[in-house]
Amino acid sequence: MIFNSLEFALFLPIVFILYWFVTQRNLKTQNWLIVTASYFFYGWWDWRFLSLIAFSSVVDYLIGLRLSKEETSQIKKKTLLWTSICINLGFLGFFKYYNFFAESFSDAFTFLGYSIDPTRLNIILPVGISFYTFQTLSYTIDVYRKKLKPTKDLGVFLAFVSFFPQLVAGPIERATNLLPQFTIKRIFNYSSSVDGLRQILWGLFKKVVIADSCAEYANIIFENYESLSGSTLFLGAVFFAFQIYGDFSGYSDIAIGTARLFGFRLMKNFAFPYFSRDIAEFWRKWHISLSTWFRDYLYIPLGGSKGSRFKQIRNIFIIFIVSGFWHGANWTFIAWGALNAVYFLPLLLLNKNRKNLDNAASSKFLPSFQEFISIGITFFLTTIAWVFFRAESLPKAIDYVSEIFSSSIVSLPEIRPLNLITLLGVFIFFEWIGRHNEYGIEKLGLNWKKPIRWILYGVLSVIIFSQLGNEQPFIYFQF
Amino acid sequence: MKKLIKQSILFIAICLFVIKGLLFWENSLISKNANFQLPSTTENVLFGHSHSECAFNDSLITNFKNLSNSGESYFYILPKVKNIVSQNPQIKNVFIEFTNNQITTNMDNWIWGEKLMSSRLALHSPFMNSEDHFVLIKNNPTEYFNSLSVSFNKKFTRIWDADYDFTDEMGAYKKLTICKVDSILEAKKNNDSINQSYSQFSTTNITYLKKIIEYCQSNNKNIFLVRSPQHKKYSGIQNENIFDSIREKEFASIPFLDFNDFELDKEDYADLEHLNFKGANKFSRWFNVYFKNDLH
Repeated sequence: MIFNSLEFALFLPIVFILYWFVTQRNLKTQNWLIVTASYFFYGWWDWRFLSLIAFSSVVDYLIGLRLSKEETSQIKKKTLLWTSICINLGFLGFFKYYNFFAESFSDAFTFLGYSIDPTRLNIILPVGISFYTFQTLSYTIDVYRKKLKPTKDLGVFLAFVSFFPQLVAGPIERATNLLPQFTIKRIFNYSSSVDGLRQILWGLFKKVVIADSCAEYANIIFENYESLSGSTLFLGAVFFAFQIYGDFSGYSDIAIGTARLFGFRLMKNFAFPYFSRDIAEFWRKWHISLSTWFRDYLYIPLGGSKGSRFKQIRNIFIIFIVSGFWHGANWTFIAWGALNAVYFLPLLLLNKNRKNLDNAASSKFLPSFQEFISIGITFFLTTIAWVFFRAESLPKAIDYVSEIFSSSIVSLPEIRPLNLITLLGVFIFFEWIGRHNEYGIEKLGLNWKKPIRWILYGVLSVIIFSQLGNEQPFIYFQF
Repeated sequence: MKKLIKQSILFIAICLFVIKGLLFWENSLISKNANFQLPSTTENVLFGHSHSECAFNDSLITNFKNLSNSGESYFYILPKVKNIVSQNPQIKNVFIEFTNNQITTNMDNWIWGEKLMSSRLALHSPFMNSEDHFVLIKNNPTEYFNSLSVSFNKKFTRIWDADYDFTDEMGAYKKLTICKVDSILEAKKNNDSINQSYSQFSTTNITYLKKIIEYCQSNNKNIFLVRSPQHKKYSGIQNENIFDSIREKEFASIPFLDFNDFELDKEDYADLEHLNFKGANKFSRWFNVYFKNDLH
């Protein structure tokens, strides 16, 4: 089930009513309702893969319990932790990376003069596997590190792993943040719920209007890149930059807003990343739940920014390349990660990676000239990197970028959708004025009279309706 | 909590009301201004799907206009017929393609299937009545909702551009230059399975053909059912018995011009069900004479 579907529009109010009117008196029943609704939500896509989530959850639940026992020795605890890691990453590796590794090994052997025929498997990638795997892993690791007490309540744990708003595309929640919320009674809060609805509306606008409209042109340009000028290709990359932002941050907004309707607080996943003044700031503001996951469970255990320069550089490359690889089993994602590491490196070496910790134009409406240029450069670098993310293969990505840097960049683009460019201008304006908030329209119109505010929401709703038919699949579902 | 639910219901109701109002406004503006006028010499019109679209080269037939359109079912032909007939009083004869695949359940997909509904609804919804919309909602509510959105958008663009001329969107003769008969027959040798859908028929499509006929008769137009030439090996003919029984039971009083066995060479076909331009030219020249001789 996807958020911008009629099925979800029926599913959400039914679960909401059951949650607050039928099961609100008993926490356990309420949690089991969440589990049932979440499994139904996931099973709507493919019920066969429910067994994967269930198995993964039960294994981590049992391991968590064993890890907390005083009598369990340190060696046994380590073995249990690695069992959890191997099972979870094993599933992920099999479903997501098997064919990639088989083909890459075959290519490597062919390169060395030995021809082997890899056995390709016709595997369907279970939607959301990368997300819930990381979420459940965070639980086991945190319990092992004694940052978190394991839950004895299976319903709580299953609800934590499968919580439907963020099950298939995040935010990847930490057990330390989300799990305790299932153990306390949720109290309905009107203003928080209204805020959640507003965030859902803005998320739908970003997804349905911005991302899907950009996708239409980005797809045309990327599919016909060989015959188009550098300026058009750059425009195509810009459209893809907004497509992926609108798509993924829109999904996150809907997920966070939906969770708020049920009394949960999910972590912020995007913080207006395209207004970043350097790549380090961009990565603090883009897909925050994944970046911080890698920071806490990979980068810091590797030594982080401590140690020799070589180690620091190595760690940066590892985290960015692994992050790229997390997105998909293709060399394009690895190249995308590596390119971002290259962007990041000068900041690390010059100790400037924590220079911009606030927002651009933090106390003013407009950015300074220097900030404006920094934002432009960062956006340009990010956009070039997105070409690798979007392209079907590495050679195609290199061709695409080469054409952008050719003399045809100064020509007038062959494809100039003025309506879309105007729409993006309006969107950037709304995002800019809301950049200090949780999401673009969080505070917009709160002081206005209700009918005027409702006109704003109504206009957004009508625009969303008008674009619903051009539905494109959520990009991050494939990860 | 009750306040939230009340406010949400009120907001959704207002939005739905506004959307409904906008759709109504779009539909009435378009239907009021829509232009379906054909040249005053056009006295004969043909409606149908790709078979007739590729078979009748109307430039070779006197006072004849081919308004067939690929993938079009009778469900969407009905509003087209109504507009064409009402705005072109000079029309005397209406030809409707009636062939084997038009009675099959595949036609249901052409009516409410994901692939075709959005484009068809965008074009024809201003001229459809609530009963027609109900057919779509009942059979595929999700796609109807999406198609309504696409249609809302396209109609808005049409109004914005003040483009109310539908004559070039109603269909026309389609010239095919290919000839793939040999390769298709070769492939069929290896895989000559019987399609189950040929044995089941679409009641909705047949109902809408009846409505087309009723409408034309009530407007005193001569109506003919036509079967365009099809290759002898075309698998769609598998349901010939059912096709005959439906025609005899439901449309016995309507003249049926059957060109299924029209003599053509292999090179005249694009594939087993469509004529290429050579076949279309041969057939259309012959049809022109046949028609001038009062169908003798």
